[in-house]
Amino acid sequence: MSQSETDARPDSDEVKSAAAATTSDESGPSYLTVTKTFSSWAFTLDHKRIGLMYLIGVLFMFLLGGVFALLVRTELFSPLAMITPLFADTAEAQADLYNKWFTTHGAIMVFLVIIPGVPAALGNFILPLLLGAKDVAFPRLNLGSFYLWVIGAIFFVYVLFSGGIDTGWTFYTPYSAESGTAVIPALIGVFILGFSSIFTGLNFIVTIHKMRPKGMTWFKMPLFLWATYSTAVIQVLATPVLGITLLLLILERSLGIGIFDPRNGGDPVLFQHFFWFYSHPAVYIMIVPPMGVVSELIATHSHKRIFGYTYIAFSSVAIAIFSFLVWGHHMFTSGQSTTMSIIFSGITFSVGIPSAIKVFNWLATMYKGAIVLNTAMLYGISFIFLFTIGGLTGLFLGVLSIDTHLHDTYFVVAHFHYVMMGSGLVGFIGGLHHWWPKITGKMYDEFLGRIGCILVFIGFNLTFIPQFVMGSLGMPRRYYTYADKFEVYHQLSTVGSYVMAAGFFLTAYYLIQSLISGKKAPMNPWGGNSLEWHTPSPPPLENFHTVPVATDPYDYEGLEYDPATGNYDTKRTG
Amino acid sequence: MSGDKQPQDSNQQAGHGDGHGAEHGAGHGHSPYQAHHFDTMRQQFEAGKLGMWLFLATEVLLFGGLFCFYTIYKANDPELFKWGHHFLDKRWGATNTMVLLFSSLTMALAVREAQLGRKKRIIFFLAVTFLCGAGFMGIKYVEYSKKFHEGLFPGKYFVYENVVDAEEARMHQQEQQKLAHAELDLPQASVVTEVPKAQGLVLQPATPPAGLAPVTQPDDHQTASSDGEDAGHVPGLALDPSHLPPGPRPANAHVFFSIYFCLTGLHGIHVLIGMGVMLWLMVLAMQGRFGPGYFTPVDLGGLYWHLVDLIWIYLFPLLYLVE
Amino acid sequence: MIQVPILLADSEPSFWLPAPVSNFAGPIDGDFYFVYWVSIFFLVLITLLLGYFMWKFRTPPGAHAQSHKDHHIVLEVVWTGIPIILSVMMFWYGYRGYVDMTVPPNESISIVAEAQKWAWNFSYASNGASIPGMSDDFNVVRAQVRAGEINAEQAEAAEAKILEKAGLHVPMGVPIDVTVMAADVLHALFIPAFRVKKDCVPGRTGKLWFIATEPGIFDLFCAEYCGQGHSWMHSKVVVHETVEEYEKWLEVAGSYDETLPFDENGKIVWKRRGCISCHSIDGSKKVGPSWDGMFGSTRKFTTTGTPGEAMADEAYIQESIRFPMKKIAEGYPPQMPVVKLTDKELLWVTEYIKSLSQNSGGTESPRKEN
Ligand code: HEA
Ligand code: HEA
Ligand code: HEC
Ligand code: CUA
Ligand SMILES: [Cu+2]
Repeated sequence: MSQSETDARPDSDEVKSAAAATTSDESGPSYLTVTKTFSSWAFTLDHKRIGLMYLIGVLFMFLLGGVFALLVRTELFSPLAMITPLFADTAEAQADLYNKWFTTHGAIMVFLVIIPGVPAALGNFILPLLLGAKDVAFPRLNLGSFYLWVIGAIFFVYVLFSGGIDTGWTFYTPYSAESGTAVIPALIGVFILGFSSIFTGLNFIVTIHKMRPKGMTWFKMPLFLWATYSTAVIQVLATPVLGITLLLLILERSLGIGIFDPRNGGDPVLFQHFFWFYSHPAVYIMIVPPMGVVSELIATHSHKRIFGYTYIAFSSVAIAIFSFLVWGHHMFTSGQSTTMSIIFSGITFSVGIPSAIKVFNWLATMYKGAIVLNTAMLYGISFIFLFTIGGLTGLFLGVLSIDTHLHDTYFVVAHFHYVMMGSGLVGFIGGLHHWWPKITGKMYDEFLGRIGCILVFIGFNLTFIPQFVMGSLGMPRRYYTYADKFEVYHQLSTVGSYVMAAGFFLTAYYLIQSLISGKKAPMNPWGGNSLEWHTPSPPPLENFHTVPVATDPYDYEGLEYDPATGNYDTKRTG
Repeated sequence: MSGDKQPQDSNQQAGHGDGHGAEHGAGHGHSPYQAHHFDTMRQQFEAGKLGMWLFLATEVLLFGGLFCFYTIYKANDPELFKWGHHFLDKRWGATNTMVLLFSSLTMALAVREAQLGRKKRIIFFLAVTFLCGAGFMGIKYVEYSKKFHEGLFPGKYFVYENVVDAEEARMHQQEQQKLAHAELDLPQASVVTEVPKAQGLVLQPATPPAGLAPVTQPDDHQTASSDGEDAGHVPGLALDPSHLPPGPRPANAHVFFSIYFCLTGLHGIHVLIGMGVMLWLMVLAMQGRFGPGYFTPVDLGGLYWHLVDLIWIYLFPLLYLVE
Repeated sequence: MIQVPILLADSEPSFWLPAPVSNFAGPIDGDFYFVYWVSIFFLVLITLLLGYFMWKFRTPPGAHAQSHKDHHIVLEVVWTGIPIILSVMMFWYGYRGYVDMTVPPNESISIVAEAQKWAWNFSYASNGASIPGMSDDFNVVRAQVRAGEINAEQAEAAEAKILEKAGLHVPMGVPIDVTVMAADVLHALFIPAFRVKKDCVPGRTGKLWFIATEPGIFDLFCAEYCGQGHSWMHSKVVVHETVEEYEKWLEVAGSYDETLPFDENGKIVWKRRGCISCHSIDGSKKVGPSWDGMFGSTRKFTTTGTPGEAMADEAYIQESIRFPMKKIAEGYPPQMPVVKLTDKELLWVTEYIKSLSQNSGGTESPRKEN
């Protein structure tokens, strides 16, 4: 490994040309090793450390959410009681338990995993690097956001140990106002997580506005920044409304204020409006950043300039704007007025267009590229395929007449898993692989990586395609037991989820292994040209030894692969 | 590009040789208040300002949600608001409005003095602003405690009995004045008609929906809250009949107080936070931190305080001046 | 006894959708397949291109791209324009179908479907009969089938037996106008075979309508999450071939047999009106207190309602049923809905509760057995 060790050394032949942003490594510790005390991590203001802590937290929560998903799937293997009897005696208690499982699963996955996933975990790490900045604009606030996340997570763990919560992740009233479970702690948890998300978004907006390096105009930014920027706008503008809604729900439960509970003179449909006013935009908080990741993945691993840069950039913004206007499509059967349903349906389709633009531009980027099918790229390609299915099935649901039939069936469940898990999470995992060498300074096992990705891909489709079928045949969601005719579909689905779990456990295994015995990562293992690839892996404390100059992030021509080091070096000029 | 940047940065690099990832406020060749990750004070100031504006936007949306609820409930049930606002004392509300407006002025002056770096005056104006905030909260305390005393709590803790008793007492007085035809059951009737809408409300005097044979007498369990045993006469009443709004009580009267307490409560919390900010700024000012080169905290604190005022300017007419 | 029609295998279910047996099924399935084929087209196109590019342009690390073209305005216009046109079409079809579903025709049969935790109750405007969904009885049959106690045929017969006095019954070919309501929390009335669904919102009413086009028995589900018994809250729709047959059924099913003793009718009320889902008669604790030994015992109340205690006599029981929120039995949540019983039903059920304190007994309905 003496070869790669040179990477970490200052020296040598790598005297860079003044113009190129590529800097060679100077000696010195990385952000991981610069200090070692506990408090240097716990009170760090370094965005990279914060990002890394987020990452660990989010992956841990993903494991937890996944365990609940497996419990749910195992229980549904048959209409008979499968594993709930291990924990509860009566049929009633067993049904309650199941309800707690899927609620916990949904709430953890949404609020603790996928919303902070790409922006707070990967974004925190990568965003200042992409900007050539030393940190985000407000490092203290950033640390604050992280601790808010931790506190929110603690509330959730508390909920788990104090009997769980069984309202569904949507907290619909009046059930949530009367359910005997730990609703209030969960609501407080979500409220706090909301503020964590707001502060992250706020930080990113300011950072992108004020801290771009000279020469990086808006339209020279890497697309990931466009994606995080659009997302941040949603986070800042939509989340407070969720905050106040949850606050009122807490008061409804504790004081019976009569805003949401019909028994006290309130209106349950109003709650749904306010919930979805946030939660629909929130689904784009879950998807737009992974889309940004995928834009980077596809371009970098195809070694070809991204196709239709401006269109992709604007489509992110368009999605962010439209996302505020379609919340009512979750309520077509709820009793909102017909006119409103029609308007919401119409606007819903406008979100499909920017999404379509992205998909086609990614495809065009691959055309005549030099595609290296490594793990990250495989995740990128999976993303395109799965997002296409997820998005297209969203169209079924946007059609008023069809949604009347499909609403609250497994068709919806399958739709949102395709977009949240198949796209959002797969994009996140793809980004994780893409930036893993940069974050940890280690290379993982490519072979196992590909196997893992393929297992996840197969398992995922096996889990959720049967759900489309049974959903359109009329299987309602949130069912603990079901009519016999749906049994085959559920069985396929359960088997699929095991395959998928195997894929994820394999992934966890080789990633952990890479930390212990992975090869040292070179500075630029994939041949990317955005700024993070021009600083050592892992980066030093303040990101760059020499202040980088923003160059075209999608120009891969100036890079030459060195098979000996596995690194892409800047071509010497002159 | 960064011809001017380069030297600065290498400078910082040296300063950070042992950096612990902590934000270093001092030790560079430039302003001691410049954080390490900003290139210039100007950049730092602008970032702070933009951040504050965004934060204010989220605050506006937070209240915006509540204002939406207000608007929706007002549109659905205007009578409720016409009735309820009589319980709010316009004079206190107006006083509070003046107090906050005045505090906005002193805050603006504090910012100006901070720009000029006149330490004593900064502290003076901040202190006045703080006191205005305290005065505002004091008045709120007076208002709230009166409501609590009268049993006008939000939601299901709203003591309908008090209102019903006062209504009966008022009716009684009017009767005695008129000495005329005994309309004894009129107030009763008005209670009955409005109840069906709020059937399940737990603490509502259990008046059965009209048309169902009552199994027990409507008010045989008023006991819990009305202290004056034989209610119906002024002395023992928690709620003075003369405080009652004219006109019949709308259904779901408690919802008005829910909205009132939510809006003013959330606003009150913001005032308290603002007062905390004033204290903190005073400490900084005492340390002589502010001057022409650095006054960002005062400036941002001021923005926040103005927002808090602004929200009250909306709240006051919406709640106190309904007609 | 009234014959319940047996499913005519005329309209076959497809791979994706259940048998289309209402006036809406045709149009909605049409919309479904339109979106379906558009989606298949794009999915196949995108998958083929992905696969082809992956295969054709794969290289080992270090290679350079063959082309550097990074924009093409005509392509952008095409792949923006075509989805726009298709989207407008989808929206339009869905809109047309939906508007049809919101306006019931004038001459229709009115039925009120009231949902409560966790039972359905259908009231027929024509004669005021109130027919329960009998979820629990169907659950018993389900359980017996799964336990291998009865075969499919016997199950069918058992269900037909239940349906003699339960379920949503409608005649074929006539518009049915259903008003949905809820007594406690959100529920939703969902009949997959008819492609209709409407949320039942407490404090509000909702409407749905349809014309059944085939006689037969179809599933009816609760599609909005409503807590513990959500997945047990199902019933059946029975479509009679003619209006006469339907009316005949209604007449018989809608009446209690008044010659029976009060407490026996009370037991029927217990089952029919959904008390069964929260109150056991064998002493076991469900959502609400068991009726076993309740009469004559001393009840303690929590502060959620009026605190204190009382002896459970007739007046107390009737008050508990009429105004469940007034006194909340200690150890139980304030979750009992207002179930609007007729005076007779109230009387019978009181007698039944009374009878349970003299001799306890009865059967617990098995749900999802272990
Ligand atoms: C990451 C999250 C995410 C994303 C990105 C989306 C994307 C979309 N969603 Fe989804 N959705 C959810 C998460 C998400 N959704 C969740 C969590 C729920 C349920 C919540 C609950 O009830 O618990 C839900 C539910 C939901 C409903 C309500 C269903 C119901 O309860 O009855 C609807 C209805 O309109 C809908 C529509 C859409 C549409 C039109 C898109 C569009 O954005 C999709 C756009 C993409 C494409 C269209 C594909 C790419 C384009 C092409 C390949 C070209 C061809 C295109 C055309 C011809 C237009 N979604
Ligand atoms: C991001 C969101 C997300 C994700 C990723 C998932 C993932 C999964 N979900 Fe979930 N799901 C929701 C969000 C999500 N879900 C929501 C919002 C609901 C609605 C809840 C409600 O109705 O209220 C729901 C509901 C829901 C249901 C419906 C329940 C019902 O209606 O009754 C089902 C049923 O099959 C299900 C299954 C699964 C499965 C099998 C997975 C699997 O993909 C999980 C696989 C994951 C693992 C097995 C964990 C492995 C992890 C590690 C080993 C950690 C380390 C990893 C690495 C380093 C890579 N989910
Ligand atoms: C959703 C569940 C639910 C349904 C359905 C239900 N109940 Fe109840 N019931 C409860 C609960 C919970 C309590 C205890 C709390 C209370 O006293 O209100 C209760 C209490 C009672 C009591 C008073 C018992 C005591 O211990 O003081 C009576 C009598 C009663 N129910 C009768 C009925 C009748 C008759 C029906 C059907 C027509 C019915 N219930 C349907 C949940 C239900
Ligand atoms: Cu009733 Cu779900
Ligand atoms: Cu949505």
